[in-house]
Amino acid sequence: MHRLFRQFAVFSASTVVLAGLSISASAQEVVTLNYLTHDFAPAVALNEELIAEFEAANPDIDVVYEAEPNDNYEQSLLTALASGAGPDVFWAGDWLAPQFLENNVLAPVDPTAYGVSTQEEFMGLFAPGSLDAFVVDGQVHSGGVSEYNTFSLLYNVDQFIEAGLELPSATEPMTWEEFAVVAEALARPQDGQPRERNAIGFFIVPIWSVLIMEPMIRQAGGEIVDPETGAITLNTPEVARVLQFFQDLRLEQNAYDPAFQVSVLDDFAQGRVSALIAGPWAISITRQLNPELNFAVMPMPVFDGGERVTTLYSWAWYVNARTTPERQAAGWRFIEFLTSQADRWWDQAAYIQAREVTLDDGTSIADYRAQTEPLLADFAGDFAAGRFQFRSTAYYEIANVLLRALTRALEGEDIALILEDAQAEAEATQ
Amino acid sequence: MFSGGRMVNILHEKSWKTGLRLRPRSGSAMREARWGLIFAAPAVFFFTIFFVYPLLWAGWISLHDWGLLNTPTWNGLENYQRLFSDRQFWNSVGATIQYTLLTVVPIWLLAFGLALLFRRSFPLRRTYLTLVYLPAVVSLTVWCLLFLLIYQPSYGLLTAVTRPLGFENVRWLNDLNLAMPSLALLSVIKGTPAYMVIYLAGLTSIPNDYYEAAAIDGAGPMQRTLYITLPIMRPVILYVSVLSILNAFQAFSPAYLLTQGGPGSATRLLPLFIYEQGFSYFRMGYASAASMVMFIALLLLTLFQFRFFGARSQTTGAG
Repeated sequence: MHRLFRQFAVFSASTVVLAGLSISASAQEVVTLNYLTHDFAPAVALNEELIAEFEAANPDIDVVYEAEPNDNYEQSLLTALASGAGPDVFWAGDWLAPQFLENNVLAPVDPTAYGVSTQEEFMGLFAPGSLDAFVVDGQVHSGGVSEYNTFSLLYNVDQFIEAGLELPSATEPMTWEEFAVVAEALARPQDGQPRERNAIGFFIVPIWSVLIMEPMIRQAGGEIVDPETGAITLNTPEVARVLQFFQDLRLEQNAYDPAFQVSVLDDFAQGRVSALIAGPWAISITRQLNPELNFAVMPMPVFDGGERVTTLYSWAWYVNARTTPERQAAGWRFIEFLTSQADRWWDQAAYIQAREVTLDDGTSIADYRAQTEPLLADFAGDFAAGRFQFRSTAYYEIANVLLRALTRALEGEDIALILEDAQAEAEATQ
Repeated sequence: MFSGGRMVNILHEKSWKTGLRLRPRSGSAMREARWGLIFAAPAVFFFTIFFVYPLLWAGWISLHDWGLLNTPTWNGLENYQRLFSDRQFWNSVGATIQYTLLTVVPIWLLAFGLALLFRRSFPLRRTYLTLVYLPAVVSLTVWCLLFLLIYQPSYGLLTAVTRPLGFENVRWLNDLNLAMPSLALLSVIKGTPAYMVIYLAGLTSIPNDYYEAAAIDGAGPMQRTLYITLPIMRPVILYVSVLSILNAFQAFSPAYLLTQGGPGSATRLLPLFIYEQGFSYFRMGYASAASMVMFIALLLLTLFQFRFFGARSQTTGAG
């Protein structure tokens, strides 16, 4: 009995030691990557799928994936980075790039992970201009754009017909002045009756106030932030024109009331909004929310006499410059793999990515997207007319100033007074 | 003939008879004190870690420029100087005072009135009490989201109420003049039941003998309330007033979830202002400075309340 016990003890100890040795041996080789994104459900599912494939093909890299709620994603990311326990690879909007770059959070890309040797060659892999927001001193500080967007108007075809309106062109933008007339007919306001619908819908949050108002201001000939001097220029006739348009849309045409809006995507899908300002991502969401909805895409309107300018914005993959060189190298390999799957990002998450990939059958990714979603072609004009948002480390402060100005204008306050306040508030952020 | 002063004197004597007296410390008292300290130690530890340390840290960081991603750099009182000249800050202070007044005064009156009502016995009392208490058990976030629908101007529940009265499409959360009262209304309905229970606990602890004695002396309901209920309830009233004001000053969810501080800055309460500075603009030093100012203001207000009610208690001899 005693002998048997001794044999068992020796066997157990040997097993534990050997297991420990094998664990420590493999631990030395495996690099663990912490990866953080927001929690857009289709994108999360695809991320998980791609991670499994990447890990199978790269046994030396273990990816620990976390998806934070979209609403507080930036707070979570910044807090994690500040604590020193931030992710090695993460998503963030291009508007945060100035703040990240100022604080040396973003590592410059390693082109060799993409099979090229220079920064220029790396940039050549992507749509022209799509990486401009991430370039400092000739070095790109992103591994690629995960989501590349512009805004157009998705509109409810049946409501246009019902209002006796001609369907808008898919390529030639109408003017905002023409849209105001159309909007009044679409909303069908009746005195004393409960509102049935808004003619237009968009998210009333800080970043959207920039995404929507900045192109309009540029169309009118102005800027929010002067690109030459960096000065904030809100108290201008161009900004006044934009605010006046929205004020009139609510009070004169009675075609829009933010109070009516509950959930803008659902409002559009259920016919409570006639035209939705959104990116290509809204197509699949709308179809999911209401498969029966008959909708089409029209270009973003332009102010009468103004230059056609729309917005451009992107989410991108970054590698944390504060992490170890091993993790950075693994991070670039991981991002290279993710960006090479542009067709799957389109199929499963409706994300347009800026990397110009050629599929196995020789089809370009742009053609593939156009074949699978005919409505996408109608965004092309707005992509071409797109310009990135202003760059500032005080981006959110300025965006909030704009949002406050917009909501005050919608409540009928004097535009000149609003702009005086907005200018003072924005200057105080500098 | 009933005399309020006489009743208060009786209470005063009673409180002295039952009050604590200073006695020399015996061995058993020392042992008891030691055990007391041991039992209190975990609470003190957690209070220090989660309240005292963050408070001191916030005070320290308020003297720095810190954007989360950079290393904090000392800038002395610059954050405070900037804060006192920031019109958004003062706007938030004004909004917070407005919200506090619109919230706490109705809560005090309603909670006390309901407590007086539920102190009595009547058919289905428990059922009504449960119904009135329901808002207190609903999560504040859920409560706010419910009100987002209730306030919807076209098909919200409140519209169904106001329509027959001739008020169509009332824009509760978007109108510059209505947004703040609308936030206050949901907070009053949500907050009243909890304070009512506190008042009710205080009221039920008043012995009936006092009321019977006063009734024999000829005191009416108003006199009984003024000379018995209110003096004895003063510590409870102090507790409720301190707590409700602190809660109102710290209100965040209604403004964050329903209005995001808008329209314009009409409902940008101070906690939302601090949150935006810290977690939207990533100006942690500045947000900490605003937090410290709010902390000091609340501390002074609470001390004033204690002093005011304490002085009143001494002059009447109760409490």
